[in-house]
Amino acid sequence: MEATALDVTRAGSQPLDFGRAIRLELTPAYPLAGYILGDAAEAEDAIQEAMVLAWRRWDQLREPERLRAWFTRILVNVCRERLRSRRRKPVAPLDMDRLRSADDPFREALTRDAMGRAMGCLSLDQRIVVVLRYWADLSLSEIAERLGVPLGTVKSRHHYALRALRAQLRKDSWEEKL
Amino acid sequence: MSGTFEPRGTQPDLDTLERELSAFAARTPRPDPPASLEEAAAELAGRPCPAQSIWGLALKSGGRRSFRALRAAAGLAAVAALVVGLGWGLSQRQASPIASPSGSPLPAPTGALGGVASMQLIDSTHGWVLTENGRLHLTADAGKSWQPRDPGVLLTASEHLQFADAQHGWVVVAADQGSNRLLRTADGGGTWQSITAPAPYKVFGRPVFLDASAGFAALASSQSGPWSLARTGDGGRTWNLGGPLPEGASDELAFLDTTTGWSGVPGGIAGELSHLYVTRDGGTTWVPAPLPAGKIGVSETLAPAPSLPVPVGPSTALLEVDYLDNQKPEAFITTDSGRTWQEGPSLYGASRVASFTPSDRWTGTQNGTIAWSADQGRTWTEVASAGITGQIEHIQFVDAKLGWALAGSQLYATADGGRTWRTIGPGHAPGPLPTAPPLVAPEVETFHLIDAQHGIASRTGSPDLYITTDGGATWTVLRDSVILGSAGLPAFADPEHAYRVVSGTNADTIEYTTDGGRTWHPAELPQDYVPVIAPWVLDQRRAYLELAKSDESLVLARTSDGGQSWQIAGTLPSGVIGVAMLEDGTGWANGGPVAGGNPDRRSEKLYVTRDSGRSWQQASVRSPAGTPYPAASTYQLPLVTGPHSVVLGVSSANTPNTTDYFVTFDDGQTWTHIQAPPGYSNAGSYMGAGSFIGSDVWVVPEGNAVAWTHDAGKTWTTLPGNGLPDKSSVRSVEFTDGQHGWALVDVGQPGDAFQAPGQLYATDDGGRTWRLLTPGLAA
Repeated sequence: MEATALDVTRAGSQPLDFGRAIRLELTPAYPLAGYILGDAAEAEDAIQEAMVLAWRRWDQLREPERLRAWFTRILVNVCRERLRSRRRKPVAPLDMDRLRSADDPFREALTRDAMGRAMGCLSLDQRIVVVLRYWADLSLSEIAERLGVPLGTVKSRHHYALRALRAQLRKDSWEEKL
Repeated sequence: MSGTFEPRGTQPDLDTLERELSAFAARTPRPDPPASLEEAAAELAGRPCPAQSIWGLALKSGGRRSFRALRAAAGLAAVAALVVGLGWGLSQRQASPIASPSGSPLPAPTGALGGVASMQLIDSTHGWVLTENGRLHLTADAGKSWQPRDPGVLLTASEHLQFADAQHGWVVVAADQGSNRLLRTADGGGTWQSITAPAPYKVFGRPVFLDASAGFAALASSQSGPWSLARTGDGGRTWNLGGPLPEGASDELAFLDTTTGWSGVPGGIAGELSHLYVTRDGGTTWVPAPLPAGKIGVSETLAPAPSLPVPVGPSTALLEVDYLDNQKPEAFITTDSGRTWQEGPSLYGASRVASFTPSDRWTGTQNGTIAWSADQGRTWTEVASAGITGQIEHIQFVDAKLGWALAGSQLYATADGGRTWRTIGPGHAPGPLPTAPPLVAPEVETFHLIDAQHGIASRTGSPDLYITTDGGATWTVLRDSVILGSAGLPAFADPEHAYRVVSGTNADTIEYTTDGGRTWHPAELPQDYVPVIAPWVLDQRRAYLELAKSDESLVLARTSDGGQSWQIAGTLPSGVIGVAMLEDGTGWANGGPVAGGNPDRRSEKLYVTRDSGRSWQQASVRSPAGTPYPAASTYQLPLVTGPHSVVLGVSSANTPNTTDYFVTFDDGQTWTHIQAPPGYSNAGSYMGAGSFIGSDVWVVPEGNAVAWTHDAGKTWTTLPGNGLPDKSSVRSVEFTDGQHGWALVDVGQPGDAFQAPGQLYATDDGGRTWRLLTPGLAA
């Protein structure tokens, strides 16, 4: 069973140690950021940024057992801002061969399959909900809690994400026939 | 009508898609985090106390820079020539002017100049560049020729070089034993004087010069401070010592004129707030600066430091604040020397690359384009530019025509307001002028044609709105920093009144505008309800809105005051997906609960209301054969075509691979079976991307064509699509009358994984011929 920060606290009978606790969050955090951002290097940067933020606010974490939810929320916000910034930059023509680079497991996974490519059509919030739902295996209620938004909002984003994916898959299928 | 973008053709069921998505996610790898993250975590955990860096903490891990608090300081130094004598009554200490700079002799030029690291366009003919290998070159003929003007030491790209005019310039360079020197020139770089900090100080902070004579600098005994203020009235030759800067202040200063300036005290990285101080007497006394109300100094979520204000004109400065929790930085402007601050107009774009000279015409870049503003950043007009390759790092104009830009270590110049750029710089002749760029905006995401003259468009990933009031000939961009919710583009009732769903930190909210999107106001929603989809707009005062509650129940709310307040009209049937409302109080909804607990057997029923949503009844339509549709048949959301008419698609459970279409002109009392448009007979086909005006209907079959009927679907004509590019696909169309319409067209290759590019076309002949529109670009 995967260790959690709470286990660390109990085992040591010490105040929650930032270094030990946050290292346990890296394993779930890396694929989470990787599939939200679609880029291993950016995921690494995002996690570093999130760690800095977490470290600054460490004394604000009053319930150690909620570390994962707390850190996930910080990380998702960092990823969200990075996606927003990225979309504001001019985008060069897509080089699919480069994107399929085996050096980047997230890009590789997201570009080799029609479903992964279709995820590119999702809005920021839709993409975050989809990754939390299907990669982090969170329920919609848990996602609402992690994001700090009402359940209805998460349901709405999830529903429209599926509809957008359905439309994109249909479009991709048609374009392949051209 | 405003179309809901639905895909064409057969679609997988959402439940099936959910399973496929789960399976896909399960197949993808979960790689272990790289070792650099472990090292970074250990490094963080090992830090005993917060670093005193005003701009944030930078981790060193694998060479990556992980966190960089943004600086709002724009690259311009002198704003206006305010030649005012300095009036301090302190003793003047004479520095040691040196006729020529000392220090290590410069190595001989190698011929390899390297790229351009920084630049300043001083006036219409003079400017300088600092190359990446530390060489300073000046031009006096607008870049035709360049002369080396090294101050005797190699400069680095990070050094803050500034010229107040073509003759007077300054730069701080490192010296021995922890000290530095200020180098100054009064002859355009021909000779340089080396100035040491007056005793007991050893180092200059970054100086600020208001003109050739008046300037300020922080001084200290070491780079770690504490810092005191000094001022000069002779161009930096001698410095008068003033009092200390506020305790804990950094060495950076911002001065609006000879009396008003700001100094920042960084907060700790453990959460202490930063503080901004202001002086009104040229630096003798400092007091906490008035700040935007409720924005700074009260929240625990602020970044460790607000940026210093950026002077942009007489009595005018911008202040930008980055928050750590809230994702969007906020910008404020003062026009009374910092006594009060108002929201916006904001710097242009996330990159803060902006030029504020001349003061009545700001220039900035965003989304790879260049734009200017004549109203202090409230609205921006983009320029279709050509010739620049790469991300613009710095842009500067001296008038409406002449400007320089730095992008990818290359310097560019324009003489036509940014439309065409040519490469310039030391070491090579000016490059050729590029051909004027085609007016192409390849990233339109969605649009809405309000009437024949008014329309709006959005670009992928940008919250900005592009608005035209002349049929697409010219566009104004309304910059915004909100994140639009899942509902996307605002829903307009007319050119002035609109609603939008905004994705907030805690919940989606509804906002409305009564001035065409220039200002937005939050709506009052019933407590605990959040919007599900964009409002259904009837006119400038009346609209409907689906709201959800945490217990999953959906209600229909309505407003009759233009969106300010919303009241619940009634509860929607369980499982409703979409709602379409007519002006007479009739409404249609489709959807329904999962049948028999089996998600694979979901059926979508049709519901109707005759009382504006208070009560709903299941509606029925007979098949073309005159028989009732069996249970588990699927009803699409009706598409409104007129005051009492809708078009409806139904897929029978007996023939699930086809869709039957019907039209009603009497609110569903009678239904007439109509022919399916070309390509729309498959199950799941939906005409939501089409446009409906009475008996005229335009839909978008696959490919670059539009199909049209003028007799409510009895006959269909495939219009030729003249003017649309080959290998394109019309995504959606909207018409305001029988002639004027827009189409969003997917052109060329499938888009980037993070965008779905489209181009906007317009027709004035009912869809027979089309011309390209260019949202956001000057025609």
